[in-house]
Amino acid sequence: MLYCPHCGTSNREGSKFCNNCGELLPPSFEEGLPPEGAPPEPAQEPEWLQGLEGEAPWEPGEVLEGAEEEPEWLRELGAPAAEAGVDVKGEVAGEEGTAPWLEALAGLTEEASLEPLEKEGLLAGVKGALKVEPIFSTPHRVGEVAFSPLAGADQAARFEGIVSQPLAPVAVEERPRTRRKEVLSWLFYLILAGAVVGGILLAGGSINMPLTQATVDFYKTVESLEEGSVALLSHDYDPGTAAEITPQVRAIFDHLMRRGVKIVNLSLTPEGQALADRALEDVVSEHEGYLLGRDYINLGYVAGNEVGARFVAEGLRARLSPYPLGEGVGGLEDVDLVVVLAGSQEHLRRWVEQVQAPYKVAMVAGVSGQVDPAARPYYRSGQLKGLLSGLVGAAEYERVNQHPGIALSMMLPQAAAHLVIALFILLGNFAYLVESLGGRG
Amino acid sequence: MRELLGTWVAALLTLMVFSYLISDNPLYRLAEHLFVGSALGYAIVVAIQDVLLPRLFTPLAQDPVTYWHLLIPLLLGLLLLAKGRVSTAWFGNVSVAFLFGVGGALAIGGALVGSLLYQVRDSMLPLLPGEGDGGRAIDNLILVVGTLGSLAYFYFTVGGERRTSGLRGGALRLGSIVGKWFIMITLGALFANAVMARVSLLVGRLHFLLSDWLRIV
Repeated sequence: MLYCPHCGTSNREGSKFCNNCGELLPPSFEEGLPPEGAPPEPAQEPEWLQGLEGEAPWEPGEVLEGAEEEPEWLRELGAPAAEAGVDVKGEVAGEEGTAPWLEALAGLTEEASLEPLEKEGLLAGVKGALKVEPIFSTPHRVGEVAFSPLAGADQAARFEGIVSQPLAPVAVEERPRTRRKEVLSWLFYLILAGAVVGGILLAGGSINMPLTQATVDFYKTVESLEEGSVALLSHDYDPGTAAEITPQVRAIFDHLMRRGVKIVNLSLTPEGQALADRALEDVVSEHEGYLLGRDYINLGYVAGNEVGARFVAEGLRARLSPYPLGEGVGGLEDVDLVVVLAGSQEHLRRWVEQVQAPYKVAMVAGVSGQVDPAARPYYRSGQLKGLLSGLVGAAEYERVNQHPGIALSMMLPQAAAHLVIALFILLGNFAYLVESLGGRG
Repeated sequence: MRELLGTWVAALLTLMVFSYLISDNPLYRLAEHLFVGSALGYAIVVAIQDVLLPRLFTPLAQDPVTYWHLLIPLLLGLLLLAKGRVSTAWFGNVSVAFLFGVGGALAIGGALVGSLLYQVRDSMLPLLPGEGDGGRAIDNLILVVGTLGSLAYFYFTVGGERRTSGLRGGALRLGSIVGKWFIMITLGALFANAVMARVSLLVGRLHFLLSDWLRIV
């Protein structure tokens, strides 16, 4: 590891420049070594040592030049030192040239245990604590030193004693609890799956479920269309929500075809067009005489989200003109009903904001259950003439349309699953309550 | 034969996804990667077949004089490809600005005209019951109180001690408490609808396994 002399950043071995500041790095330790077999270079005296040549060595008891003068940092410390009862002037040079505060520390170090603390590593063999660390030798507050090298030695010995103790056996109480949780989870999965499978096996198409006003309004809106009217269906969903919306689509297709309405399909999602085609194939086979291009068409995927929705509204005539169905359709004003099948609230909002509001076209929507809370305000405000919500909405529509299908057959397993979930929620809350009361007691 | 193969592939992939209930495993990951990869590949093919070919390349190839204006979206689209490299990314800024500008303008305008104005108008409701319309009045009252309470809860500019002092602060504090409960009920309804949607997916998958694959139903 190379450390930059400029900023101190550690750099990879062999680096030429610092990764942080870009300064030129000194050669690494290995690079600085002479090659093997090379003769050793003669030792050179450093400059600071050359400058001292000719001076006599210092003798104990000799007072150095300027030592009599009190330094500034010592004058600044006069007040605290005086408070501590220490003679500052006496510290400058004692009888033997040693400051009293240093003598006090030396006394402490002599009492220290000189047991060898370092047994391995770079400091292996060093006995005892260092007498005076540089940081402690600064007498900035004599008499208020709350920490000494001995405290560090004690802490080190205590730490060594703690880490050298044998490890206590690890408690293994977590495992049975996790196992119990897994068993409970699996029990819940099995009960839920059993309820759904049992519901599917026992299901019939004659469930007398209540109808919501939004579904009835949807039905009445479609029912009011005359034969030869044009309905535009936008399939804005994907396989993730197809289980809820595809039954809606089938029921709506069936109703529209029984009314003799021309159907124009498109999608703002790439997957929607394929899902629409599959639903069309299933329903058209029950309605002979409905021809592709004359009675129904799938215009495919329209890119662009908001722009795509507005593009459909502006350019519908051009897109329908190649087909017989497009005869008499001059634009969106000739479309009698727009049906939005949305798997997300963004898609529904695009159609409402970009098409319904500016063009005042009649619009209904079939949405996924989780989109229902976002779609409900549009129904309440009258922007949507009707609303189907989730699989339940599809089942309601099948019932009001008097054409039972797959949605009605799924209501019993759906209800069974809801019942199981509700029971487990109640059970969980009851267990939590009992546990809380037990903990208080 | 093709339908049978498709049913078996769909059934096996469904079981592979269900295997996540045991734990995260290679079968689940394989199904997950297959789903992501096939969805992306399908989207690309659809974009080429339904958008680029019929709306851009075919008209340009057949009659470039009439459809010369299509060169502009073609150029903007090509500039977007420059976003792939950092050194050339700035070429695509014009295209991105165009996309964001048009999309943002349509979205904001639509939100104002299509959502905000309608919803504000629809929240101005009579609170006094008419003849034989007591239920409607209660419904309106709940809606108005919920709307005002939710707005008060998100009125953050009056806070701390000022919020509890004076008539205005007290009204805001009371409104925010009411609004908090309305918001919690709304979030509960959202969560319940999300659970219902997921249960519908489970029912749909199990129905597919029992009817289309095993042919029990």
